Amino acid sequence: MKTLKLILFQAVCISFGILVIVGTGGVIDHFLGENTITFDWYQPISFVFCGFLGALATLVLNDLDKLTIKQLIARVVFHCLLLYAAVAVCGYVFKWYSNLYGFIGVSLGFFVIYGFVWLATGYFTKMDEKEINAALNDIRDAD
Amino acid sequence: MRVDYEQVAEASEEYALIKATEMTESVKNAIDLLMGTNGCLPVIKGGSNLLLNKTRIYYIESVDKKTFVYTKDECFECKYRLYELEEILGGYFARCAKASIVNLRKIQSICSDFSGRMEAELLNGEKLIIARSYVKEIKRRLDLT
Repeated sequence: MKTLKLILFQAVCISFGILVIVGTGGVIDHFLGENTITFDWYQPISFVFCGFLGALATLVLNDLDKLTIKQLIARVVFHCLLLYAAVAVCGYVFKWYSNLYGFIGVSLGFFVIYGFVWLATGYFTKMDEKEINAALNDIRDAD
Repeated sequence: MRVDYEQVAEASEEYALIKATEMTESVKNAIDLLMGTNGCLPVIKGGSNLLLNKTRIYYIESVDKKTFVYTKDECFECKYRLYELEEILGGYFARCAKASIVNLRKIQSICSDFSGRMEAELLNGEKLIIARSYVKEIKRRLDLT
């Protein structure tokens, strides 16, 4: 149940990430006056499908607590590549891009969002750390 | 010391405020009593049954279905399971991983890594991993949520 919940949550996050990339691309496209972005009927559902596929890759990040830093980094890199593969394959199958520039754009968007998610996670963890340390100062026993 | 008592209507309104010029042993004992962290825990060492003061406990670990209680420099076995100890000890004793409970008052500092996992350094220099899933509960115990 916990794993299913995690997969659903991740699927929502990844689908949202894809929507952000596509949406931003659409806005830029519009302001450049090109308006070349159009959707086929299967495109929106393909975002959801890719979200689920990517969420399965999240299982690689389960149970990180016992890993060493090196193992942890290796696991995160593996997860990033798996997720990237899911996005790249879905992009190819569902024709999210039609040429090399489109592929580079999707890839850049992916890595920017992936990096941003980890940075945001790190930031909030640091905030938690600060908050907890301050609270511990108030209750700490003398050694 | 002057002591005031005031009756309140609901449990959520209950709180104690101690005003003191310094944190003496008796003030600490009063805090322990109010927090429910005083008292002893039956433990076993070298075949002998002992009573261990809860305030001496640094952390508790479950290994191969056995429960071990660690103080600054000693280790005792305990017949209780972790989930029972969580209830018995309460207060500042919080689950920090699937197989361990830490006394928050014995933590020197915590440090996080980029994955969201935290490591606690105890007052005796030992280090314990705080799993991501237990951070929320620890924050709750510290009145941070």
